Amino acid sequence: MELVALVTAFVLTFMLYIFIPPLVDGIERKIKADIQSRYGPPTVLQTWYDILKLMSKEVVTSANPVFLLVPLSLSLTLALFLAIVTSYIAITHIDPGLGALLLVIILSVHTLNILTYFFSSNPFSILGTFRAISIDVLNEIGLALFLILMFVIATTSLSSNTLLTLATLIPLLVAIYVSHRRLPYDLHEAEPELASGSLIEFSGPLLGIHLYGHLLERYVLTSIPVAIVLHLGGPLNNPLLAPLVLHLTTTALYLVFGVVSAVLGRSKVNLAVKTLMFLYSLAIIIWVGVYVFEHTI
Amino acid sequence: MIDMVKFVKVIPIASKVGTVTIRYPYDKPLVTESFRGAIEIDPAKCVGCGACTRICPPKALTLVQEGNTLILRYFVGRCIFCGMCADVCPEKAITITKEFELATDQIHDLYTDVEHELVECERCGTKFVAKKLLDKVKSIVEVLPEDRAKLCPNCRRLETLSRAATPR
Amino acid sequence: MPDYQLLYKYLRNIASSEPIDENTEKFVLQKDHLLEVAKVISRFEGVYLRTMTASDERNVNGFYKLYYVFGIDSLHKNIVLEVPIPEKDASAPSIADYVRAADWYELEAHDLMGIQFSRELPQNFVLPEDWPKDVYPLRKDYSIEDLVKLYRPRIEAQAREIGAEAALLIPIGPYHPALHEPEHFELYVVGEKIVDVKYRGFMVHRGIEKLAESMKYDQVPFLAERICGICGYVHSTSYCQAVENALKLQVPERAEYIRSIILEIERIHSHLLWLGVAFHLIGYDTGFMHMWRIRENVMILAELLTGSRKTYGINIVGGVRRDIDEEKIKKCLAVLDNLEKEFKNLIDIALAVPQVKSRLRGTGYLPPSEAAQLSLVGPTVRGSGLPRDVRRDYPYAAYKYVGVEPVTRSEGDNMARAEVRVGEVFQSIELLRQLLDKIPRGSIALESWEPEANKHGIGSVEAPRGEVIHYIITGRLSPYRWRVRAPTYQNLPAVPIMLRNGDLADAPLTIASIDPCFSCTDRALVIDLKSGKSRSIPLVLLAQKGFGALR
Repeated sequence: MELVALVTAFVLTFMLYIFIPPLVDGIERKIKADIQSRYGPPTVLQTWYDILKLMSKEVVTSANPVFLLVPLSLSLTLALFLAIVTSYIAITHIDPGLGALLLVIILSVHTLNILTYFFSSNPFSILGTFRAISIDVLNEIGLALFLILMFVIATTSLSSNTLLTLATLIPLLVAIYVSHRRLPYDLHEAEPELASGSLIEFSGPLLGIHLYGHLLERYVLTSIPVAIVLHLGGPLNNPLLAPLVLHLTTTALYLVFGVVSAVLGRSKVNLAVKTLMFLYSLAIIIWVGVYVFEHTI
Repeated sequence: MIDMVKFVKVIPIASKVGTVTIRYPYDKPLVTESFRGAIEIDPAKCVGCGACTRICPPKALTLVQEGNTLILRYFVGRCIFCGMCADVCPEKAITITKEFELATDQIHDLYTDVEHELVECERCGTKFVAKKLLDKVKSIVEVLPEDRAKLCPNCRRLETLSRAATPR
Repeated sequence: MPDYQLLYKYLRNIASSEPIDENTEKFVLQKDHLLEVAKVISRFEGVYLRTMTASDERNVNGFYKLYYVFGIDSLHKNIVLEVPIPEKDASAPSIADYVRAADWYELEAHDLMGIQFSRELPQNFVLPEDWPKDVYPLRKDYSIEDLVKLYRPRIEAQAREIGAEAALLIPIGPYHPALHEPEHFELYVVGEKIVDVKYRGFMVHRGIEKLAESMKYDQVPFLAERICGICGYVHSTSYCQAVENALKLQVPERAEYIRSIILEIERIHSHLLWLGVAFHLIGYDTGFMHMWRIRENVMILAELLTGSRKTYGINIVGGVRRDIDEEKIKKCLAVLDNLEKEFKNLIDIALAVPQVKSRLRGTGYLPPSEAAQLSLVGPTVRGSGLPRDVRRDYPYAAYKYVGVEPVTRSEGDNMARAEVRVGEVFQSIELLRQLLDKIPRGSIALESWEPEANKHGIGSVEAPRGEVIHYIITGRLSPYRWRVRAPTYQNLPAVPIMLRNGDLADAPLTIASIDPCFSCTDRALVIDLKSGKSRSIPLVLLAQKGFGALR
């Protein structure tokens, strides 16, 4: 009985991971349109329609499409694997090994994405890639650090300390926001022009795979802190609740991110790097401060 | 400090205003009462004087002679909807409608013709003026030499000259 | 303030004077004296070159003529220098060393009228690169046959070279579905800083001035309105004023008020448009959408008052064609009240967004001294502290009865220019309230008027982008010579100055800050002087990517 419930919950969580990301992107577009006093796409399923339309088009590339297809497919597979691991965490338990596994997968996905950008020798693409690399490298430091800290807190007695938990959770959420590549940090791809920057040579099914993989990765990343926090008080009583709680909370968090990006402008490259360095240094100092403060009392 | 998060205030503004775009063509477009659209020429009132063709800036209105008829041709494709023709027409035959949804894939839909019968000169036979214009002038001008009314300008000059030169 | 009477005395000594109207005096100079006079004028502060036009009057008096219009803002007076150029020796001294603003005008006179100047001039400033030599379109004896004859042999020779049997012209030029807008900026960079900028434009040259020479007086305002896609009404008003000044026509006061009202409405909608576009370039799309949302009310108002959202079509020589009744005035005031509230809220929020602030402040600096030397106009020059405004310096229409104080800022960067425009929106709303209140009764147009040939007139208007000035020489049935000078023409030479020593990433926003009459998603050719490589990059992309990726 236990096992059946666990397996059902696991499969349900994973299936939702596959279907929800484009849906929640459609909802975000509608909300952003609301903030801008207009209608936006006709339905919330618009992103699904877009991806399916892209998959039905012909492949037009400047070099052999296999060079792009391989890293894209690998990246997508790894993102799915990431979803599996997170589902497992959400339903059963956490341990540091799983944390390390998550980190390795996330970094691999990011590296594979950068690799896909090198497919094109177009100067626009190189411009965008360089920017993407600068922001990514800086951000991954923060992401890795606070993810590890979050796992440490979740698997030790430190979890009872709410202030410390918050001091870890908030920078983690910021790092995840930046890795979403949204405004104000969507520098790799210039929005006023369609599909340019590092994505300039992607078209048709390749763009479709990239778009889906990107949305999936964003969503899974957002669900990781939710999955961890779900376990702070121990594993769930009824495993079938896990998919519901996990996905609802992740969707809500994702939409909050969407609203934030709708009210900000795009940052300049040199400013973005400086801001991120400042933010993470500040976060580290605050964390150390809170830790020392809590342990000397 | 409050200044730093002031940008969030755009959200309450958006929620108060709601959605301002309209789903054209499923919703009706908005035009005000003063809007100038395509023109409509009343064939009953038009006398074929051609004042509108002389003032039309892009030459959308033209007078064309085809055989026995004088045609006032209105080509919507060139019209800039300025309404100068309506201002200038002495018979007030041109009205400005609010039509602007004029796209079509048949170009002859864009041409509107008003036809006029032409009067033939009694001496040389050239067709020189629309019958309606001649009738209109006859009704306005009291002292009109009837015998020279149906002569084209050239023949009228020659006739007048010959009468003046003929000794009495 | 300098003693301008000395200037007048000097000019009256050296040239024969002829008053055109109570504010304009024309001096007929010998061309040998032109350089001397230019040197003297350039030494007087507060005298600005407003426009220059070349005219082909060989069939009237045997000469080409150059007309330089200088304006003395503080006296509200114009000085026109008329320089006859003989047909046999069609050359003139170049005054660009002393009056820097004359640079482009000389290039244009050289290109279109064929007047040689005493300095080395590049060929084809306005005309396309493959235009045949010695064919000058603005000359009265220019005919299409010459052009066709000169073109055809070249095309045939080229076709023979590549072995083709016949030549078919398929233009894939600066106009192409793939390109955003046809013009071209060359940015020279060393490291991260921009060293110099060269501009190649005029790809949308439509020959409007020549076309008007074959249209009747009352048809030209409609043509003039289509010169610009945002501020067309200023051109039709400026043209009508030029003709009215030339023929000494007294326009009814009510018509003047109506013209000013529509001009201010146009100013509001143009500034709201610019703010929206600036936010879009920065990436703040929410600001863009909301700014255009509140602009929509102004467009609907314009349609209610004139009959069309943009090409109003209500100007004719001697007045206007549509009246404003009580109900429309009430509607107008209601819209303005609403607009003022919404705009104030929105601009407070938008300028508080951290990215908007950091990208506007401190970028694209224009020193006030350069602004004065180049005779710049509009918010570009008012953002650097110089209070130049045609509504105050050369009053026209109803501005003679309502005072206007120019809105200025002293910082000279992109934020200053944006703030000037914001201030002007509020000022326009106030002005509109005053005008709508004081509008007098009366007729809206002259009953009739007679054209006279060979009269000169200047009409100038403060457009949202700066000063528009039209120069007219009348003919019997149509204008003999019509010279249009739009504000962007005067302001573009300032762009290299603003871009120099700035970051490459700020280039698009800086170019947009002079509010050019073309959209700012343009091609920039970036030439790296160290590596010698060049490539073409959309400017908006540069705004996000910056220079780093060129390595």
